[in-house]
Amino acid sequence: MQPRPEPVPPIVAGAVPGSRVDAAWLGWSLPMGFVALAMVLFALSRDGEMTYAPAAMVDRGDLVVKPRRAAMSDPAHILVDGSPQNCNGCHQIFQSNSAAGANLNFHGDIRLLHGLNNRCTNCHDPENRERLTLRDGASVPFAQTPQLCAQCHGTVFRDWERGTHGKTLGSWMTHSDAQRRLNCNECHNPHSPKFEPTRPLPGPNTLRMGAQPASPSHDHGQMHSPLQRWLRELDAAKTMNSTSKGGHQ
Amino acid sequence: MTDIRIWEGPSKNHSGSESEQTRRSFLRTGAAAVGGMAALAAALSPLRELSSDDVPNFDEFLQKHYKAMTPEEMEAALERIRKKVEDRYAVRPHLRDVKPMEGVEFVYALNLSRCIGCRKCVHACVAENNQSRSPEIQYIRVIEMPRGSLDVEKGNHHYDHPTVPDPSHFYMPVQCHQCANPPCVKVCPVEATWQEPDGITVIDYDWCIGCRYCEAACPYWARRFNFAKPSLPREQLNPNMSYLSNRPRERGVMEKCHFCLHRTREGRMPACVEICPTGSRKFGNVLDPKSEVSEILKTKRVFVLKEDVGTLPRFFYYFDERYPNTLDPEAVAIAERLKAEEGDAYGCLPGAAGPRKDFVASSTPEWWNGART
Repeated sequence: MQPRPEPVPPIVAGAVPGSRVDAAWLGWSLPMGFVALAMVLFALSRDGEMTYAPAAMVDRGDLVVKPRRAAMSDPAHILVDGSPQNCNGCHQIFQSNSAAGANLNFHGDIRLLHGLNNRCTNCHDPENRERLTLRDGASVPFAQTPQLCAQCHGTVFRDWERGTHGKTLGSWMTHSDAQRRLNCNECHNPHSPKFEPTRPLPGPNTLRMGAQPASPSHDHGQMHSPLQRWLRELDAAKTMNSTSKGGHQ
Repeated sequence: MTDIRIWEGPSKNHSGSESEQTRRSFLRTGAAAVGGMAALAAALSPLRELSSDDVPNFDEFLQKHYKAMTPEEMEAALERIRKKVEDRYAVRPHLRDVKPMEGVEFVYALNLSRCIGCRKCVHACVAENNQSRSPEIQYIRVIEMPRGSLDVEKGNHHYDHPTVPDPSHFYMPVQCHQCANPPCVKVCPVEATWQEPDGITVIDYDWCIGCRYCEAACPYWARRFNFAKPSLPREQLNPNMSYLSNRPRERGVMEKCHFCLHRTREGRMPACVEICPTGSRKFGNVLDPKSEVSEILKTKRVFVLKEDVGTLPRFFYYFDERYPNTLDPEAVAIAERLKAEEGDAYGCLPGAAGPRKDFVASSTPEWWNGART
């Protein structure tokens, strides 16, 4: 029976590599490390709740499928003080000046922005205000607006007939009864045919993340694009470099 | 020599110290085992966030690939999904598996001259297809591009003008192009995504393993991944669903535009086409020579995005030209007749002196000029 060797006295790390106590310490450190890691992971997993940008607020009314505007009924009528009146009711009494253009005494809601076509009777039948007139003097009902518009907008009309201009609702099947191609005046206001600018619906969620400027500024969109911001910073750095070089020369 | 021995074993040399060494080693080993178990438990701790709703039941786990299911198995799978939707949203969905039509190949065309960037298509798509509202998943990106360039690197989809269109930009919406040579299908390791006979690339959400290879392979940034459990308010659920399109998705699966196949395979228009206020979006059967998309491909100047990558998209962009298409004899004839009748003023032919306008007998209003500058 040999005497047990004296324990090696405590040492500073690295002083006696491979000694018995050093090895024991390392052996204990492994499970302790695991326990510490486990505690860290447990702690982190509790904080794992992510917050997301709030969902885009979209008015469901904006997503209703319908023609862009209500076309004039056929035969034509307007609402006067909320009650429908046919056109000839007034126009039999009040004959309007055939040269009347953009400055209307009546029909104040009409903004006439149709280029050179700025005379009422270019399109409206002077004899019967509930009908339209073609250039050859033929009188057509309001339902035949495309025929009227086609007199000037020939290529657009051709495209519309083919289906390459304008909007089709109902079905993509050409033989389907459900398919309906909207008339010119179901999208365009005949008095002001160009589309008005509209408010866009909300963009991708990056726009709603983090701090927002108080009011939409000119480059608002660009400010929130990380790529654009990065490129701008790069450009700014380049400009600074070139100016500083210029200063030295 | 470094000598680290975790388990030293019974010492033969020091019989007197044998029991002490064994206890110390036992404690050390035990602590290592406990620590290891704790670490394993910690690594698996995200599983605690799973609710019973997330865990597939036995039948779901054994559900086959879409193409391998018999009609009876498919009906059983549909019924399981119906029940799940009913449990989650208290709505009985109109869920079915809509098959492609014979003799139909869907093609999409988008008129860049008419798009105003209003983003209605984006949100109509979200409402139709039951995408997650928060975190947000949208299939369509409307990219705002500076006029005079087609460099997508200059595009910005974060635009936030008070009104659109911005006079100095045009707008290019991008969504899944339903390529005829789809890279996303090639890279899928489990064949969870494939191209259907009508040209739509679909995903079996129950087969997808969420590796996101397809997202990386897509050159159009068309695929979206459910990093988190999709959140969808009950009152916004669209109950008109099909297996391959807009049924509710789970966390960890890929999704993308599928041309609203639950609508289009029944003859209806996709939601984005229906909502578009300008008629920029055109959809139809390219095998039907009278369809709108066939007419566009025949008569308009058409291009596809990133043609050089060889994906053969079924999504075409086109322009309305202010000049007549010189490849179209009819348009050239009209232009030449107008030029003969009314002079050069309307700029009907390339190189004409007049303002570059459509065949509109009108001057340019002041406000138009103002908007352009």
